[in-house]
Amino acid sequence: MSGPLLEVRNLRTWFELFRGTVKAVDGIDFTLDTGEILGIVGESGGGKSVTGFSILGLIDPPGRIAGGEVLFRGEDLLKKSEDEMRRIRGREISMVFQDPMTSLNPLQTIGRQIDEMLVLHTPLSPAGRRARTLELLDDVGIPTPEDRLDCYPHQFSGGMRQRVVIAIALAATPRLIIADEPTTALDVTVQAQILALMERLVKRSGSALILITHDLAVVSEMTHRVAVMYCGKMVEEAPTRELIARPHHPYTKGLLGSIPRMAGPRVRRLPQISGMVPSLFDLPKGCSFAPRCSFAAGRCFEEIPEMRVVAPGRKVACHSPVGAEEGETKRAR
Amino acid sequence: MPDRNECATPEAILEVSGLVQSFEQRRGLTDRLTGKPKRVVHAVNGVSFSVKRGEVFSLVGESGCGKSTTARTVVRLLEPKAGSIVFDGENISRHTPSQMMHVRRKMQMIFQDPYASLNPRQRIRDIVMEPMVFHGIVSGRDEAYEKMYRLLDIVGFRPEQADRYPHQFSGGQRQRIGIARALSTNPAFIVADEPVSALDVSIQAQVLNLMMDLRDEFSLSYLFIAHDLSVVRHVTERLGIMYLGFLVEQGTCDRIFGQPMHPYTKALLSAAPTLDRTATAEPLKGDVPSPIHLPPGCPFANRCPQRMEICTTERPEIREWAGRMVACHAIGN
Repeated sequence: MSGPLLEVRNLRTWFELFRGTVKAVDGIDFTLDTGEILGIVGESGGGKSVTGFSILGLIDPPGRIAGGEVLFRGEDLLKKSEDEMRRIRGREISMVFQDPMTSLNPLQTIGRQIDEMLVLHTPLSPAGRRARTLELLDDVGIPTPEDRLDCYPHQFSGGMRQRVVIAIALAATPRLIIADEPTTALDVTVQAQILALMERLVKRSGSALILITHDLAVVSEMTHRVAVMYCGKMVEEAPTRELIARPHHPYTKGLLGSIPRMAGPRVRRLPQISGMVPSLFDLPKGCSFAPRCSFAAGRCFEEIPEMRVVAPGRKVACHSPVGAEEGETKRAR
Repeated sequence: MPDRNECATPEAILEVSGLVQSFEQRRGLTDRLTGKPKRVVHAVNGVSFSVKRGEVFSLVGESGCGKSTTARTVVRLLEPKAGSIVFDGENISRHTPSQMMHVRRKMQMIFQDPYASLNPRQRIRDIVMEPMVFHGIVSGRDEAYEKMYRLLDIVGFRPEQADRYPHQFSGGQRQRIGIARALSTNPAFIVADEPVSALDVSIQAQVLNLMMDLRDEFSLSYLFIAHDLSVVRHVTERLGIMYLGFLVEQGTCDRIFGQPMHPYTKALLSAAPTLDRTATAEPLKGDVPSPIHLPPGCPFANRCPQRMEICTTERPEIREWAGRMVACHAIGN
């Protein structure tokens, strides 16, 4: 099959609330190829989680998909019925959530929870399912899986629970995994284990991964490409190394600047983005970032910037992107 | 100059030695009837450190390592089980609540969760004024108001915002309210327990910058509790790394980040994701042992890549080596 694995076109997810309409996701586009790891980053309220839920059709009222297309292997998921979606979720696309304690059923053994996925999505016999369950637990690095099948989630540590969640997500060998802040609740040494594990499993199975996170450092180490979201819009998309080396959108630049570095000289003050994220009920007229942007000029307050290609593989939604021309000349030289 | 005996003002504002803290777990009825022994969680196991005047000292470690318990014990929110806490030349480890009153004025705390640490039914002006009135720092209503407006101005609020309630503010703003409240008693020492971990990165930089500005302006000393190593590296002069209630390494920021010696410190530093690096080192295996059954030897032995025979039987003492304090059998032998 040619074409990308996933193509999201002009996706809009709105929440109709008493106070007004919150455009949590407002016209985003991106594509994802098989085997690719895409990072979606941004701060709280940026719309990154809602993007993940929208792809899976998990938006409940008062939320609704106000428009757009989510083409998965060429078929629009937004046109599918709930029954059809149920067969896609887990089998074709699966999700890993932030908090492993709430995404596992506390009343069922983990063996049973993995088995359930296999019953639903694979033709395996009971013996085959048991073998597959053990194999999955072994894959995600749970020692002595035979002894752990009959354990309940509370008998596992946070990191071990997240391994079980990943085992469940991988059970039916999906083509796409959406991981929403999969390591945010975990300690750094455990986070490193889980990220390395996910990277290895994705590489081996050839599936694609969307990693939704607020942590640019995690994105930097894991992903091939990054999309940055701010107030429901995508503001920049680029190959990961390029984005970190030369951000074009002032918001990306600000985000990168405000992270204290682990190497190099220590600075007295961190560069900070002034102000705060505007209320989604009351977004500014032009660019949502304009009130906090030190480069903003007249046009930024009037006109919403369109996402446009500034270099091969690089897109940015800004009237006056920083360092774009400079970057080009540097490369030309 | 106020007539103050130089000898009475030691270089360290806080000196903690051999601090021990533990909690008894409640037993259920069946456990009590069947005569099961009480289970004790050994949270802090003989920790010694000092905070010099005007410096930022950080305690770093993963969840459950006892860093927050240490902080809470130091400010005497918890009764220490053993060890001494000398604050400003005064041993406060056995102080009664009434004896603590005048000490509390000089040591204040900033908490992690800006949503839980402010009373939702108090206006922010009252939140900031309450401690100064309680401790008798201001002589009257006018002075209290004046000081409250000045503090709110310092942390970046307009006077008319003083009448609002906490829910009308964002997480970063609430954290600044918490800071204003901490400053209201003119403290010399502030314990900040994960003050920025609940905040978005761009807001995190704002709060960190504010805390560092205030240190200069009010000549504060900080005990900073954090798990994020890049944040710690940015703010701190000296730090201690905790694991399972033990201090495993302690020294200046430059030494520890420049040349970590304890295997756990090394693992922690290499596990922290960074923007500057693409490949993560081999992650640490295994989990932290239970603080109920402390291992007889080194707390880190079961995960340590450099484990020797002595490590599982004998607990290493913390001692000076290469310009820092470190507790490891493999170093210097």
